[in-house]
Amino acid sequence: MTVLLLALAGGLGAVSRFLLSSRLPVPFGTLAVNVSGAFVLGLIGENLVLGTGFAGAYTTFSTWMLETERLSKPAAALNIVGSLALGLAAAQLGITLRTAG
Amino acid sequence: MLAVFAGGCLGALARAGVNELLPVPWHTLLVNVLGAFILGAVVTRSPRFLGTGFCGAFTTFSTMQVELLEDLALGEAIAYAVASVVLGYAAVTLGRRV
Repeated sequence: MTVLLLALAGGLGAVSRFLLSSRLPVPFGTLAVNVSGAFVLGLIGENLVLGTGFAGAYTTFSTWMLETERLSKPAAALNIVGSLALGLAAAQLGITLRTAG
Repeated sequence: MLAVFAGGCLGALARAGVNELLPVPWHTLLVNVLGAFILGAVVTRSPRFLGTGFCGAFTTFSTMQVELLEDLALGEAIAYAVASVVLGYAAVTLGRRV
C-alpha cells in the first residue's frame, strides 16, 4: 500500500512540476519548482509519501543540470549559485517553521 | 501528461529503492548524477516519459537542500554541494554525447 502511495505521489509531483515549470521561461520554471519544493520538504520533514514521493519528484536535479548546460557561462554560473542560495534559504525557512511549531 | 505521470511514478519508486541501499548523502548524489546522465541521453528521444517524468522524479533538488542543512557538518556539506554540481554537470554533458 505504501509503495502504491509513494508511486502515486511521485507521479503527481512530476505532473505538478511539468504544469508549473512549463508556464515560465527556461530556467525560471525549474527554479520556481526547486525553490518551492525545497520549502515544502523542509516543512514536511521525513515522510516517505509526501517528502520522498511528492516533494522529491516535484523538484528536479537533472533538468536543473540540463538547462544549466544549455546556458552561456555567466548565466550558468548564476543559475547554479542562485538556485543553491534560494533553495537553501527556502529549505531553512521550512525547517524553522516545522521545528518551531 | 500521462507519460509524465507514469515516468514520475517509476522515478520516485526507483529513487526510494536507492535510498534503501546507500546512506545519506550518497544515495542522493548517486540518483542525481546518474539521472543527469540518463536525461542527457534521452532528452531528445523521450522528453516526456523518460525525461520530465522519470529523470525529473528520479533526481531531486529538495532532498539535496535539506540534507545540506540538516544532515552534514559544514565541510561535508560544501564538499557534497560542489561534488553534486561538478559531477551532475559532467554527467549531463556526457549523456548528451551518447
